[in-house]
Amino acid sequence: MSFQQYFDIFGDQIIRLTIRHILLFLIAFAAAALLGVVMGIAIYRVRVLRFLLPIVNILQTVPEIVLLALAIPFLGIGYTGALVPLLVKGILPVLQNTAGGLQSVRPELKEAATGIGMSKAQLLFRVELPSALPIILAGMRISAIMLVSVITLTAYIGVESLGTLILQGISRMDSNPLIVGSGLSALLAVLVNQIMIFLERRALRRTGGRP
Amino acid sequence: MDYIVANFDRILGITQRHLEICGLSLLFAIGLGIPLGIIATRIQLLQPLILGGVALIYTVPTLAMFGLMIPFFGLGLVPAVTAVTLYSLLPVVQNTYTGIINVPPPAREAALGLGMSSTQLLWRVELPLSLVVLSGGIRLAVVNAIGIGTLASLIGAGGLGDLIFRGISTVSPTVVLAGSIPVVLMALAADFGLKLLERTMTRRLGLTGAEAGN
Repeated sequence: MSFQQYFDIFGDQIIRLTIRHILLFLIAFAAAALLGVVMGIAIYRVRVLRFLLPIVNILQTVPEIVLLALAIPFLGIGYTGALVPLLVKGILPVLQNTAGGLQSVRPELKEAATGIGMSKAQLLFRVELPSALPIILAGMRISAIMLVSVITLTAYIGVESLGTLILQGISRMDSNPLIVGSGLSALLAVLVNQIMIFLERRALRRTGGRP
Repeated sequence: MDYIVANFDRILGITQRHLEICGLSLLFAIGLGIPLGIIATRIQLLQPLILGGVALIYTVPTLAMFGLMIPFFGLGLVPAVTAVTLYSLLPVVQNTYTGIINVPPPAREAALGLGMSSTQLLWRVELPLSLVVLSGGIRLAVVNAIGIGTLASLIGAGGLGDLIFRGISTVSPTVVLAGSIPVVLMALAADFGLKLLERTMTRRLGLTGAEAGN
């Protein structure tokens, strides 16, 4: 089948899978970014929770496919089985960079803010978080690229995404779906990366390049 | 558990295959990545091309990368090692570059003042001083490669992915575990061992390694 023929017949499916992929990414990323920042702030503020950081480091080294595979006996195959490991993996870099970014805020800034009578909440939202923003965004970028990539893998546990096309291509040795699936998911990853880099640069310019 | 005991030899063989894939890829990645990183510090014009290029490769989803290997290299060991090598380049190249760029200017000036050539400067000053950052990059590459190596199974190269993917498609958690446990153990061992090595090096050399992100 020529590429033109393939596209004519499966065009609808390709568009549907692309939209699925993007939606799944947006949901997982929004949840991971939010939870990661909240958990990062909690670890920074509540010293007792620091014991979680080494555990986060260990979880980071667990490969995504292993996490997906291990979730099957507990969560089954499908969206729940895919979303929970995605969230766990997506939260980690955001959490690490939030906690680390907040820690690296210059002490003079904090002292000045407390000196002019800011409350703890004001300190967090007006000084600490804006100063740590470039580092937090860098964590979100790592998380975003990883999520776009892992979503292709979830095809293996029955979640429809661009990965479905890649797996079709591999199992049927058909280069059409293989190239379309791989190409589109790669393009999406590059696009997400560029958007995040743009946001990081803007945040950096605002803080004057120093946390 | 019975499955793991009964198939212990086979699992060991598959683990060995996994190590072969990762080991070969890392050898290529380090052998190629360090010179690329050095070139990026020496030739201004090539710097954005090299650093941007390896970053772009790293962004491509893993499954897509392994899929894209098939039209070019077919199935088996060659495409698998190529894919894992490409992914392992970024941390090695990036950290070689960062390590050398962050060598304190006084050290460089002193070396040049002693009349060192550019090659001597590289071997005697820049590389030793960036060793800690460089080994941090290699650690990231090793841990990544062990995980990504599981996908080699999808393009017929074998390795522990064979067990993981068979476990998924036959819904048998024990088979998944038989493949996952060695992967996780190897990744953790590599991370721990290389961190220890970095720490000893830092202490020996009396250096503080600037952490380079991936």
